[in-house]
Amino acid sequence: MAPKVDYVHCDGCKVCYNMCPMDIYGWDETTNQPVVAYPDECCYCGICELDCPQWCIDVEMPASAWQGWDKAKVPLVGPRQGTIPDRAVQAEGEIKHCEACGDEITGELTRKVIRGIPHHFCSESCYVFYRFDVPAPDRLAIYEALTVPVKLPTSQA
Amino acid sequence: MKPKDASHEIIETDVLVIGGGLAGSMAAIKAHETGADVLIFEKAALRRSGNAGKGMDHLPIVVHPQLTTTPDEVAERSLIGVEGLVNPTLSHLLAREGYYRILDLRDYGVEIGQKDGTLNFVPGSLELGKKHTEARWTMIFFRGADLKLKLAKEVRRRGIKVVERTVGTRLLTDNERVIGATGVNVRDGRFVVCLAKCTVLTTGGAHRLYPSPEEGLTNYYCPTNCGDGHAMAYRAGARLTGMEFIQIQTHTVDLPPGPRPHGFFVILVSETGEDLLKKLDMKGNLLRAHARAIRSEEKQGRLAYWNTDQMSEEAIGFWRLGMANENPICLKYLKEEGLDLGRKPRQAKYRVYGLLRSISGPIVNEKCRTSLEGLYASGDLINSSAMGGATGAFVTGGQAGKMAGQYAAQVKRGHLDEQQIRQEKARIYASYNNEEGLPPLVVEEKVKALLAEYAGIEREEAKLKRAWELLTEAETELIPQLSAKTPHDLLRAVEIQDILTVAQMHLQASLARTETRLSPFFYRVDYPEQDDAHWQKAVIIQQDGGKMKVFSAVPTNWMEGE
Repeated sequence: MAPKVDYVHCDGCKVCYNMCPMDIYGWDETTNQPVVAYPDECCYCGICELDCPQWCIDVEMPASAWQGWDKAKVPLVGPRQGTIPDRAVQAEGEIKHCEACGDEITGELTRKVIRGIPHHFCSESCYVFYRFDVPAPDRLAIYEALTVPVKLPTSQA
Repeated sequence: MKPKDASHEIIETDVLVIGGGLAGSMAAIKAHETGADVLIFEKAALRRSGNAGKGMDHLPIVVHPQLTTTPDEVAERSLIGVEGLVNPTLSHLLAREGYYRILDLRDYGVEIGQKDGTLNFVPGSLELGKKHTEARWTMIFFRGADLKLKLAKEVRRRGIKVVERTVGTRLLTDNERVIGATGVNVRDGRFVVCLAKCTVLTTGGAHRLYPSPEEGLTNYYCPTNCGDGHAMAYRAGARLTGMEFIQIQTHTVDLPPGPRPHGFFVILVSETGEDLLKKLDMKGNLLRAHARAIRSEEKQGRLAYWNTDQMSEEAIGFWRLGMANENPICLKYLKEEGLDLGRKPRQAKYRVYGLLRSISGPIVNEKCRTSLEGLYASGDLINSSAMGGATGAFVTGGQAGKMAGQYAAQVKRGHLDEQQIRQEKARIYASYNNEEGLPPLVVEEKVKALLAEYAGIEREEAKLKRAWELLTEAETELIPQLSAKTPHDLLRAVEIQDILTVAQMHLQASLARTETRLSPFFYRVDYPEQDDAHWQKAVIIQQDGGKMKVFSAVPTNWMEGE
């Protein structure tokens, strides 16, 4: 088991090659695309899959004791390197809401260019939910129910 | 390239930081603030390296303005159970400065708290000593999936030089003062020499001593943290301590690693649903109590479970947030496998991941200076306190960087000893010149299997002595056979030599401590009782004339004398 690269969509940006903490990628200068040179050393951190702007890496998790028996593993047909969720893209000039959680973006914007199209999130964490197409939990409701709010002083002592 | 006659470049700087994780980034920033010229050697890529590369969403804060606890109280409390094993002045430093390093993070653009500045504390642990019997901190929760990205941005913004894909291999010395280090570029095999006024080691814990739980190099921690800093410090003559304690983590059997359930209001229960910690009257460090409880059930032929079936909707959402922030790929796994987090209880298990971080490592004083002049250290690497974690990395990293910067302002660069460089080149490139031989990972598997068989959780003298013989054999017979075909293999060949050195220290320290302490982190089958009369002190290891010298001392005598 190791990362699988979808060479059709890969545009040779080198993010996977540059970011991999375990240095498992090599670079094929003739095709200008990555090769999984050291598959045995993959630690399944998923950084390449998460950072790939073309969504063309699929880190296959090892079959192991984690394997759930809640539901039989569904065999996946064809390449499963992320089909981008079909959602309305906001025009760059009037970005108001996070595409993952729907909250209004008031602070710094997290901008991700995915297959050439800019997408906007209120944080990197929200992008994670978007990436794996799972609904983001209602963060503020969770905070309200489970944490104690403490006001942070505005300046250092 | 013919590495035998490879030339090398010499880079000059004021402060060299080896390792660009949380502690390394903070050390570099704080050293830079003193006006020093700073350079980072990073084994991988600064944006995504170290334990927090995937993200990091919780920080223990020990003292903050809203809490009436004083640093003294916290420092005192943080020593419970680890008296004699950690330096109390560092516990005090962590208690005093943790909060202010977190405010720094906010300045670097990390989303600490809500937009209006509200922090979210996990309740229960907010009141020290209320929920967890010996609670040592309050935990703040934030969205930190991009923590490392933001830190890396700040490092770059300040113009700190970063040499990526370069692994530090040896500290250079001039009359017992550390004056820089050598490194190897793992992409092209280039040899790099950095001549610095002082050096900060921030290479993280030694987490690659025992076999990986799954395929390849999987690890709960970042597998790049193999103990190279421990080995470098040892070879340069620094003192290390706590090398006998192992790091254990508790998990669920059928979920991928990632945030562990106990942080999300889940408790450990027996097969019949009883609260195990209450039933067994386990107190103290939660991780240790959980591991002991699971082991205790195991010994009686029973399984232990996390009561995840009792989780509220909010708690499940909180766990999912935790996964998104700390190990995003968990979300994909859950989705693909059709796993439902809160549906049923999950079986609990524990695993060994190398040495106990923040306990095992070089000794440092309150300035985060090691026993060698010109060598500072911080983060998971050092013996700091039982608390450590990300806040520990920021506090000790900040302190080491600041002190290193101040020291650098007062001294001149040392003189390079060409012989040290020649020796190191010969050592590094030996495997590169071996066309036929053992791939580094094969040797690594052997060493790990050996440790799992002869050391591990249940240690005893006869087995430890046999392991020492076998390791010595491995060093003399397997290491010369190492064969690296590519510069990348060179990295693994360097790492296995470091892992072996750390393993040797681990065995010697385990043999020296003739008692059981912090079980199951250190459990001697032949000495199952805790012996406070003789052993409320640390086992210290230092290289002396090429031999491993082992002795014990109380924290006040750590830096010199025996």
